Amino acid sequence: MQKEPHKIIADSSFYLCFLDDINDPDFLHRIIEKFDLYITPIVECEIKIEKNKSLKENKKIIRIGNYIAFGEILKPFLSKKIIDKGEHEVIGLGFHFFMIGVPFYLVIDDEEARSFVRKNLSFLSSCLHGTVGLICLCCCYFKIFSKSETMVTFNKIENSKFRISKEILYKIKNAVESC
Amino acid sequence: MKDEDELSVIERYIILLLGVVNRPVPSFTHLEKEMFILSKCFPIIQEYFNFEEYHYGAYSLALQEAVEEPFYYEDAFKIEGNKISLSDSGKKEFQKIILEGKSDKYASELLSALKLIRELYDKLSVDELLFMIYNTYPESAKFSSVSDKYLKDLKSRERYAKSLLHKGVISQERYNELVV
Repeated sequence: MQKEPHKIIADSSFYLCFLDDINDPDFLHRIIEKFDLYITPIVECEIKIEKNKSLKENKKIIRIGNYIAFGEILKPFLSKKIIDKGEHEVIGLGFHFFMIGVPFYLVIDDEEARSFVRKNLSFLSSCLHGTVGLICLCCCYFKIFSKSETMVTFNKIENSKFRISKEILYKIKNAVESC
Repeated sequence: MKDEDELSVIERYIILLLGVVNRPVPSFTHLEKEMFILSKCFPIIQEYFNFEEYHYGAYSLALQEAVEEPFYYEDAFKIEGNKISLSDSGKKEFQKIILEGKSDKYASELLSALKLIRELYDKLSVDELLFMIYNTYPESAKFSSVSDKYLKDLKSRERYAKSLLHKGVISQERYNELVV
C-alpha cells in the first residue's frame, strides 16, 4: 500500500496565494501544521521568506539549499518566465523525491511547467496538483478545512489576482461540494 | 595531466552517468554535454573535468581520454558506433560504486541528477542538443566553429526549435524565445 504523502514541494504561487493574493496566512499555516513543506532557493526569495518570521522560524518549512541544483538540468527546456519563478527547481526536487521513493505532493500552478511535467516526466503526474486542487484535498481527504471555509477561500481566490480559470475552479468547487 | 586519484574519480563519474539508465548514451557529444550539464548543477566536478570552450562548445579532454583509454577501470566502457555504454565489468563497477555510496547522504541526489539528465538529454538529436546548450550557455560557444548554425542562422534555429516543440520537450513560450 502506498504511503500517504505528508510532504509538499510547492512553487511560489502556492505561498503567494495565501500570503498576498487572498491575504490569509492562517489558512497556509493550517496546511503547514499537517505537512512538511520543502522550499527551493528561488521560491524562498520569491516569497521573501527572510522577512516572514512565522515562515522563517517554522520547523515544518524545510529550506533545501542547493547542494545539487537540479533546476540547472531543466533550464534549457523552460522559458525565462518559468526559470525566474524557480519552477525548474521545484520540478527537479520533485524528480529527486520520486527517485528516492518519498511520497509527496508537487504543487505547480503555471500551465507551461505543468505541461512540461506531463509530457516529459509523466510518472510525476500523479503527484501533480495546483494550489486549488491541493486545498480541495486538504478539505475532502485530510479534513483540515470544513467545506464551508473551503468554499469561502475559493470565493476569495476567485476574486483575487491569483490566476486560475473559471472552469477549473468551478470543477473543484463541485468536487468539494460532493465529497 | 591528471593524477591517479583524479583519474579514478573521473572514471567513476562516467560509470555512474552511463550506468544510471540501462541504455547507451547516444554519442560522444551527448556524453560530453550531459557531463557538462552535471558540472552546472554540481560544480564540484568541474575541477576534475575542466570543461573548456572548444570547437563544439564545452568540452572536457579528461572525459574523452578516460572513456577511450581508462586507467583504473580498463574494461568498463563499450563503444559501438557512436554509442557508449558500460561493459559487463563496467556494470559490476557501477553496482559496487552504488553500494559504497549508500552511506553518503548526497549520493542519492547525485544519482537523481544523473538520471534526470539522461531522461531529458538522451532523446535529443546531436543538433538539438548543441542548439539547446549553445542557447542556454552562449559563453560555451566562444571558440566554437559550428555555433553560427545554432545561434545566428534563423532558418536553422527555427528548424531545431520546431523539432523540439514537436517532440514536446519545449513549450511554445520557450520556442518563441529560441527563434528570436
